Amino acid sequence: MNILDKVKILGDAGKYDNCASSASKRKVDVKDGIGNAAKGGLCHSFINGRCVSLYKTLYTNACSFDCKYCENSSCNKRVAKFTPDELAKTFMKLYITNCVEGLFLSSGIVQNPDKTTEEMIQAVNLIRNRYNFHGYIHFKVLPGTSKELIKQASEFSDRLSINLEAPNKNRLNEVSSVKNFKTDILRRQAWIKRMKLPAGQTTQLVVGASDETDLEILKMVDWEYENFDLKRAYYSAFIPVPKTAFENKQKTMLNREHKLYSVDFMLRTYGMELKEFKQIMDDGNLPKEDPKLVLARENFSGPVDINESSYSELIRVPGIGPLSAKKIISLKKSGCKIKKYEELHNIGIVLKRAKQFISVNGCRQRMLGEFNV
Amino acid sequence: MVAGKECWVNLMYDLEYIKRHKKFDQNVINILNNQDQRLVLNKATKESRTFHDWGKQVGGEAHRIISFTRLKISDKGILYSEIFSEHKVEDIVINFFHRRFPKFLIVIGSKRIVYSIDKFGVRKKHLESVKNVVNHLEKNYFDEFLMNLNSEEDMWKTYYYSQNILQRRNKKLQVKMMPKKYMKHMGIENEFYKGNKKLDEF
Repeated sequence: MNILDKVKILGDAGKYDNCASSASKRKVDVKDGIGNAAKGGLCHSFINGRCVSLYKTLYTNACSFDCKYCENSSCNKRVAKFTPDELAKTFMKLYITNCVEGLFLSSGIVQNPDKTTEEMIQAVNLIRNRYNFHGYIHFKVLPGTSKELIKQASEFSDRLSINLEAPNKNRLNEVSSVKNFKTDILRRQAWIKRMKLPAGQTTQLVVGASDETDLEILKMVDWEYENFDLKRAYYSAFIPVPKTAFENKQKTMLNREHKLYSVDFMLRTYGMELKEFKQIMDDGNLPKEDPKLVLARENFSGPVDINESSYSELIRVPGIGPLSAKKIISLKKSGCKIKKYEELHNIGIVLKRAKQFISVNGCRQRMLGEFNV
Repeated sequence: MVAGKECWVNLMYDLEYIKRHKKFDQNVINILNNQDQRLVLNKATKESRTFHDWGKQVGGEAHRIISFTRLKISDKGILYSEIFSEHKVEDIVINFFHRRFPKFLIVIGSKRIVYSIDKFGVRKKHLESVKNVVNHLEKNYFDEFLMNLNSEEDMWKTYYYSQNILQRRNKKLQVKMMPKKYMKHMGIENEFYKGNKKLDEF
């Protein structure tokens, strides 16, 4: 098998994993080496609107695990495997020609997780030490890997991650008979937390593979943010892959993934609490509409005065994000009042969404019920 | 105009970016100096918004060119590429690549100007085309490391197409995130930009 075939097969097998190149705080002197990690990350191309930033590949797509949704568990697939040298050279060529921003390395599990991880570490070691690469590396920890090897991987990586796949033990048992939720995954996350990586750790869940509810997912993620200093969680809507155990299962609507990201962002960045969202959930699932809009309809009895509101009130108005809320507060502090909707538009507020919940200088949008017919 | 008032716009804004805009006009700075500073800094007036937008557009273009430019490796190991920019961002782009690949000789240029930068950080302007500059510099230069990496295989295209998930096909988002004009930098075809179907193609 030639190298292009390997790039194709292993790239294709790794495409369902989510990652980003941002947020590494590591500072290095690049004079003797190659590459650096851009602060905000760079998207080097897009496919179907999704950013292709890192060289996202598996080390091998052969796998002895039986995850029912996973492409690697299917029969009749072409099996490929890099050697450490091949992987290092392929990645360096892509990096030097500015096609990718860093490396995302995951793998199927051959025989046992430690054996595969050892080979993955060899490849990363070559990239760091032979090629003097100083850029971004995201290393996927395989469930059940020993602590010693995770420690070794952390020395070469900016970010480590291990996929939760499902929100709790029972749900994970529905999709995999091999993985142990507590020992194989949560315990490893606790170890990674103590390693203090420059870009921290992340995780990923497959949404809809085990018929779990949104509340189950958000509860778990919220707990992880609190206990494991998770940088962020990724949600991947379940897509049935041919020749897997779940090939006839219905796919998850992408809208569900989008709503989970929206609530996740509000939990992580806005400082909102999960209990606020429980009141708008139906049987543990988020409403069909935008969660922030539904929450605002539930909570605001009338329009809020933009010049009198606090930060926490402003941030709950649809169309106003943390940045624009901070701008309004800074204007208020400097004694400058907002007098027109146009000024709000210029600040960056999406008036179409915000107008029904705010009043500016005594003016507000009239509701349909207020008109005398 | 009061002297103290005159300079606050210069102090508060990153004029280095704004002055690179193709529509940059000194008069806008004079107009801004006569407006309420608090409103201007929060982009609450039309002129301040335009001013902010100029900076954003230049920064955005530099960012996109840095992201989408594919460097090529010449026979003797020079990294080079031709870029297509509206604003004057060529030096920003070459400085970025020099920070990323400090050991190599890099040539970046547009129709306006071509720059080369060596491992010591010495940047030179050239008035010839990128290809001519590379040919000229190759006479006294070779880099073994890059010469070894240079190969015929088109790994990038193979990798790029392997990342496609058909079930997540989103034409609108693709066109928004990767405007057609930047496709030239990447050397890949995109099915979304093939134009309208002709009647006999249905």
